[in-house]
Amino acid sequence: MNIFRIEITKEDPLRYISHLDYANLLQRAIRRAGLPAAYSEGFNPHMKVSFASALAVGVTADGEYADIELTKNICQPDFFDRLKNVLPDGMQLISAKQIGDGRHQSMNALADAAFYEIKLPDIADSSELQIAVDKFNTAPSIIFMREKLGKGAKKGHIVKKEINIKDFLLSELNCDNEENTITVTIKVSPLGSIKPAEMIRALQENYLPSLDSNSALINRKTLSANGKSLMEFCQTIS
Amino acid sequence: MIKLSPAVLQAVNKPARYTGGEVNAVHKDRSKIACSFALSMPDVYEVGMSNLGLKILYEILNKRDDIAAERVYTPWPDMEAKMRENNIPLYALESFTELAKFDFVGFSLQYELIYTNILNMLDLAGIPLLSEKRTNDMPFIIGGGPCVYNVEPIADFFDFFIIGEGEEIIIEVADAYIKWCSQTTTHDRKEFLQCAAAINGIYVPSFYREEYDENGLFKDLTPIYDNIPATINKRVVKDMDTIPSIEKPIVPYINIVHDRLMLELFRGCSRGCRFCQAGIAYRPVRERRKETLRLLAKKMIDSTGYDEMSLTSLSSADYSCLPALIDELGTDHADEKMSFSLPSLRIDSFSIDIARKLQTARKSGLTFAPEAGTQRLRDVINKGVTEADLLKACSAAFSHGWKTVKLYFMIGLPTETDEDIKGIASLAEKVVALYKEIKGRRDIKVTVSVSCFVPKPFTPFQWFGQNSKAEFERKQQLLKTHIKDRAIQFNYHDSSTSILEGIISRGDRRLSKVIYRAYKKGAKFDGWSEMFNFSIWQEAFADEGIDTAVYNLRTRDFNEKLPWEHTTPGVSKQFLLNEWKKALSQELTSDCRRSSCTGCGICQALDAGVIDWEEGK
Repeated sequence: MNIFRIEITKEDPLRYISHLDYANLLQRAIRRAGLPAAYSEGFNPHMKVSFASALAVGVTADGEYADIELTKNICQPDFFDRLKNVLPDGMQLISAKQIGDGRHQSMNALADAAFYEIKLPDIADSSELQIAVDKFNTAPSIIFMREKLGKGAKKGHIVKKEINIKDFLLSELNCDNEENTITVTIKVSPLGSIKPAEMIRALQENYLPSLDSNSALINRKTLSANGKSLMEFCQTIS
Repeated sequence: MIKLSPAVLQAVNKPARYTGGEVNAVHKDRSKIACSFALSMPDVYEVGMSNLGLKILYEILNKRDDIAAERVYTPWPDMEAKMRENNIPLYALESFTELAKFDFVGFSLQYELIYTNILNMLDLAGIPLLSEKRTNDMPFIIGGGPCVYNVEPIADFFDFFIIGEGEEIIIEVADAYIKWCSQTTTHDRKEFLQCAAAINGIYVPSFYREEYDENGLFKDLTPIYDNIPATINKRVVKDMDTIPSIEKPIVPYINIVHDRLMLELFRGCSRGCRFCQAGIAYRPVRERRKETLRLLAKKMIDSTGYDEMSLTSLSSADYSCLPALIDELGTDHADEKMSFSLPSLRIDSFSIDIARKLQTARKSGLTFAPEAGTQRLRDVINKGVTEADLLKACSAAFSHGWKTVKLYFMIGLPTETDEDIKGIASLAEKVVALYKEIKGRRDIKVTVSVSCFVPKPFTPFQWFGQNSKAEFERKQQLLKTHIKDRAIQFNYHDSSTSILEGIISRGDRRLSKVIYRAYKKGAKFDGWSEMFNFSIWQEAFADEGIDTAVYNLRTRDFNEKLPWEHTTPGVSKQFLLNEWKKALSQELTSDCRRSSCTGCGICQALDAGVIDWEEGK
């Protein structure tokens, strides 16, 4: 078993595609590259590719992480070049690393923090942003009403759930008034998380009514485990 | 160039429908282009991107360095609202150039219920809807595809139509345009339309005048210039092996309706089902060689990374070398976990063997189309399938483990009686009983899907009066009361879309006003049941004083001149009439592909012939 861990981007041309479509795009690229991908057994074979996290539609990333299992051993430079040459616009291969053939803890379980940079649309008075961010940071809790289209028995209904944004933040909001950007670290956990877009909506609803939150451009700068990049964090389960 | 703001894209469903940039999309420097096309299927991205014809034209046009072909689809109403709100004109997905700046905008006319979308798209592009209102700086609006065998209802909106297969003629049109641009001093669009009309297979509707008789019935349509042909035969590609085809199809970012490669085995079908327009429209049958297909398959798989390929044709199981082709494709792509599928199955055990070969992995349900419930009616429509054939095919399928069967039928066929309707229920029951007999279990699911028959131009049923809405509904209810077995699931649809299709498909030029009015009243995406509003159409017909029954319910006289006869697939009217008579006496007509000529006249009219690679031929 040969597994490569890769770090790839999701840039502007791919901003509006879903995680599933992004995964499909990578799998088709692997096939175009002619890499000897491993497939699951059974009636409906699936390529053995696993991702670290699901990015929302509308969010770009400087680093997405995926583990690709191959059936044959190929050298890193060969793997790197073959994949790099067939990736679509907006998907660049940053690094690839062979992570041995032991069993690995899934990256999904490993990742615990995501660092985001959010570019806001121009606001008439930039001090207004600083004031809103300060209020946001000092508030003990920020309640947000999450609305989702129901599934199964609740299909056709909107399911509402109250969440406290603050439960999911690992840092304060930092705002750069010059660049009109906000940076923040959000907790990632198997038990759930929040979307950065929800946090921006909460900021707008509570403290910055003039903000056009639909125009915010969200980019995930890093995804990390225990303070380290996922590329470095290849923990083998013995 | 159009720039879309995040505020627009974040506010709409599936923004990737509108942002382009997919793998294998062709981007050209527009300053080095002599002729540009925006190719469109007037439906939402996921549907439009699945259209085979446009994929072919896109590659053929883009092979030329001096031509650019781009794509444009209908924005879903959420995006349309945003575009109108922000004054964003309709643009093409490659260069984000406004549609109005193209030389040609080509619409694929797949079925009548997308006509209002065309008007909406022209409006969104700022292009006048009526061809006579367009100025010299505007693109030429052209149409092609299956609906060209009666384009009169949309004649007022188009500059010209391409009749038949587009591979060769689209290049002739582009060359004529490039030549005209280098020579013209007036830039008068009429001057180019004269050049276009000189190309074999081009219909310029504004060069013809229609006449109606004292009862308001269509009388004739005649050219207004001497050098314009009275009838236009369809174009056909004579050799499917030498014509360029799809090698690098675009790989969409989002899931589309047919999210797989399509390998076109052959064109045409000569089984001769009498209700079927495609059967006449795409004759003669022309197969590709197995070697050509293997090469095309490899190129498509290598250039896209798709893991699924559909072996498409009107009746793929009729491909002469099918078993060998499937084996060889399997060997060629053994390491790539490719899955191959057939879109439709013939009702026989050969097809079950093929399905077994293909479905080594997945076992989805099987679909058969007996079309009618009794042998008598199946003979009327020349379906050439017996109850024994169906039961034999099902028996083979059941013993190999299938337990889901879908059966397609039509109601409202000529000579149909209530016995034929009840026959649908009893046929389905026999399939269920057969399963119990073979497997000794009851875990079978038979889906009976029933559609409402729409008589189409250039078929033996083109004179036949369609059933009324009330009659369709009565028959649907009748069938419902006769389906009692819980293993059978009965599906049917509201008949009003079939009624509208029935009116428009055999309509004349006077319907342009109705389509325009329906569009103005808000009709769009009429093919989508959740968007379709029949009352809008009823109002539009009333407003224009059109008695719809004249178009769909009336049985036409054989001596009447029909409004669509001038854009023809080349079939002889006498053949259609003979077929109608044979239908009434339940006489079958054989398939000309592997027996003698049945005299439809198409090969002679078009100087083309059947190509079949069956061993020994």
